[in-house]
Amino acid sequence: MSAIDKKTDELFMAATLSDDSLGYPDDVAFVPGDQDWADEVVWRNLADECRATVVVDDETELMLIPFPRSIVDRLRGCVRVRVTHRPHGHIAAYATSSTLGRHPVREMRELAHA
Amino acid sequence: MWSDATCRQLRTPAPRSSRRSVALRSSVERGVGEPDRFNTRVVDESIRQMDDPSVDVWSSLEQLVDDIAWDPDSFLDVQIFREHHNDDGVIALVGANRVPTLPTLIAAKRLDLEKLTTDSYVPGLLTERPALAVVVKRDQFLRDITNSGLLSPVGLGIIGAVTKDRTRRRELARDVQIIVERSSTHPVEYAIVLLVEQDGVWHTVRTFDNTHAPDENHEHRYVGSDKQRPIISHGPPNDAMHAAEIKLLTSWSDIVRSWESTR
Repeated sequence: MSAIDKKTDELFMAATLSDDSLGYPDDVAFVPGDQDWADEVVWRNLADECRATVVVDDETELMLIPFPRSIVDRLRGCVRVRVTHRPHGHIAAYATSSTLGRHPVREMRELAHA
Repeated sequence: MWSDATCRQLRTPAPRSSRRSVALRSSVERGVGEPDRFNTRVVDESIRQMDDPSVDVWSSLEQLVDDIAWDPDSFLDVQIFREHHNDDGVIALVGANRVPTLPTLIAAKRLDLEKLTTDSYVPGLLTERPALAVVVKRDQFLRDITNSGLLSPVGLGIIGAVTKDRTRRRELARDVQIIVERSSTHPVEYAIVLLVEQDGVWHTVRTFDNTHAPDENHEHRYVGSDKQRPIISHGPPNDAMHAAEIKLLTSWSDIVRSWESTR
């Protein structure tokens, strides 16, 4: 089990056991960002199920909240999301918007390092 | 968990004839394991069969049936299950009339929700009917259930009401996930489910819940899609949730492997 996996477990358990919402929406999925299946699962959550998803990395967590996909989005094969950084589990005071394709985790990494 | 097919079934308006058919229900013969159980053979049942005290309640939607349906000690229970994700206020209600001394082996019968679906029917006193299944609008249901006195005659409590308003998912693999649903208010009501996707269908492999009472925690194994009798423990819900999550997070692969061997 990787360190990111463990961290994902910790965040998930904190989110489930806390009486407080901890800033998460009602329905949210936690995905370790270092897994080879992360892109596929995050895409499924965002695009197919329109579900908020937290992608966990070693230093930060990205909370991606998808907007419903328009016909144009579907034709383009993308989903628009609101991105909130959650460094070390704390909620950032701002959010940005982004448009992601079928490899959302890879794309977010590329954006972060750009 | 709530597939599109499921949602469609819940929304399907009932034929007019079925609005009075809650008593004259149809059921689907129990055929576990198949994902599309609505397509299994429909068998008409008579009132006489319904009066059979050993009548059990089963739903074509596995998620709609909770522990109560398996609990031989339950006399009369009402189950209200949360609405599906589109939040249009549709919920499913499954009610069961049970006697205290049921035989150990229960001849399970299924209520065909498709046949009984209606957006307006609310049952009268459940004491008058052995088994009911309806789909109602939540707001109307909550209004009518208080007006109808549905709860008062035998001091029923609503179990599994729409209180699990918080959902957290942990993706464990491409095709395995844990779903935790819990209430945000006390007493905490929770359900923790380990799901596995096979051939495009999500299967329930293990569940934990405290549907019966806040301090009564149940763990259900599954043999194929057959829900097994619970392992019961007592304790605070948070401790039980913590233990259940640790168990699933650390040994989900063994649990899945064990479940796969039963299919």
